[in-house]
Amino acid sequence: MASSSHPPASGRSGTWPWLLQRVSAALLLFFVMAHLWIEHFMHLGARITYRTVLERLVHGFYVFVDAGLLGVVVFHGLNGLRSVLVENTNDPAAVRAVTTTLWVLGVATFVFGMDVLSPFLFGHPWFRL
Amino acid sequence: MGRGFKVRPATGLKRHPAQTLATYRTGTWAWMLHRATGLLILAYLYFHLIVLSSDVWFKGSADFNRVVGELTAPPFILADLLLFVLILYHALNGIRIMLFDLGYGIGHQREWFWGLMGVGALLMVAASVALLPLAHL
Amino acid sequence: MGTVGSDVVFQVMRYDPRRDVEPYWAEYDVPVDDGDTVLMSLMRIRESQDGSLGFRASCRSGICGSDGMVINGRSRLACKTQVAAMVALRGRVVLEPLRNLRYVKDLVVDQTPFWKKFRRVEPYLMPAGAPPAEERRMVMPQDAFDLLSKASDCIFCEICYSECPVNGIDRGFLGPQALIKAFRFEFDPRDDGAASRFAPLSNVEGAWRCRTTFNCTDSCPKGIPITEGIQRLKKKLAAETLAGLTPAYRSPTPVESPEDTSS
Repeated sequence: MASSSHPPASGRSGTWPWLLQRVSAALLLFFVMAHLWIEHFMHLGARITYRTVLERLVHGFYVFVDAGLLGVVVFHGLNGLRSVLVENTNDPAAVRAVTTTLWVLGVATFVFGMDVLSPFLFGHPWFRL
Repeated sequence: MGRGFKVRPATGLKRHPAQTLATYRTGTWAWMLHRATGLLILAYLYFHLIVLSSDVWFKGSADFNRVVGELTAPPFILADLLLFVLILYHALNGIRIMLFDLGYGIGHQREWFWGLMGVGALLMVAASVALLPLAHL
Repeated sequence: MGTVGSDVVFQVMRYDPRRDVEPYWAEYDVPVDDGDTVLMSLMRIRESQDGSLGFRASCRSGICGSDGMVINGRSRLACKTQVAAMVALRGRVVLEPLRNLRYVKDLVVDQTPFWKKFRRVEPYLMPAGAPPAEERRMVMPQDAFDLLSKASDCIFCEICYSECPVNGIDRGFLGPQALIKAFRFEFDPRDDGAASRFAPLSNVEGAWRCRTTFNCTDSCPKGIPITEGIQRLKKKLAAETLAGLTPAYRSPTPVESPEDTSS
């Protein structure tokens, strides 16, 4: 008899933050290694200038590495911070407040990071401060 | 009561710090360091983005080149190497954690820890040899 | 050390909430014979020096799990710990109650949260189907027995609960003992309780709070590979969560009727 045909609604499940932290960690192994290699070792000794970055970011692969690293590292870092912040509570309101705040911060950080890249990608910055 | 034994009066329970540290083991140290390096790398991420955003704030390639040029001064190269230590630790111990999550090596967690730390030390030496000559005065 | 007739200093945390403002250290000089355990010395103190010293003990042979306490900085069973080994470590024996549980008196702690969490994972066999009409054997396959027999050795001594740093941070964390017992039943092929245990185990204060510090595995007096069991549990919970996304979800637990398992 298949009495366990469905798990109950997980409710306050901790599965997804845990699982996504592992997935993002695996992605970061690639992104961070690529980033360090590109910036420090690929043209060892060559100075990084505005022009070299501009020429590099013509290629889609480098844009993918930079933007992908930004998105994944922001998620991984803030999800890790979240797990530290809510580690001694199971209060749904407190957890939700922390999660919402960190999502807002994360999206803002991603936009800010893309803004840093934007002059190289679009020839002009997105935002002028 | 009070026969044949000594009772020190109520002085509170002051533990020797070494007594507290002695209760931590390899796995606990690995976890605490993982957390500390993770938080430091997160802090660095914001520092990194803010420094690079100066090309947006001040407009123009000249400013970007100046800022990036200053970052090749010896103190920054040393800071880079320190950052590399943090990233290496977090990445290698992260590999260890994910291996355990996949079900590998759980019975040899100490060996995995010290083995990966050995790999980290080798990579650190390699990075130092490659990066230190690049420090511009 | 450990020579016949020589005295060993026992430094014991004393606390009687009805009388003491705060805990304090008491020191006893205890004559120790070769092969004496910490528990034997505690009994000697209570018999001949201080009848008011509070500690729990029963079987004296590492079966009942009553006399877990912090001995020279680590949680151990007093009946399985040699005085000579502890003296070799620090020159004296320092005794404190278990961590992460409320002090009741001296070396006795309040075990209520531990047992509540144990019950929350429904630590009993939930067989598939209706109860057998007649008495029948429910034979466990050999490989399942090999996997689970160590986890069945748990004596509820609370040493893992005391050593786990996550229990120290989060009072709501189920703790290693509840999780290893959940593992013992979740991986029993005769059990069909996955749906019922999913909620408490996948809760934020369930298996996911485990940070794999291995303190439980290192300290377990019965040598149970607790972390390994918890890791298997996590994998199973993750698989169940992912399977729950698909419309045609079936229980990942193989449901075997007793007839299928020929022995």
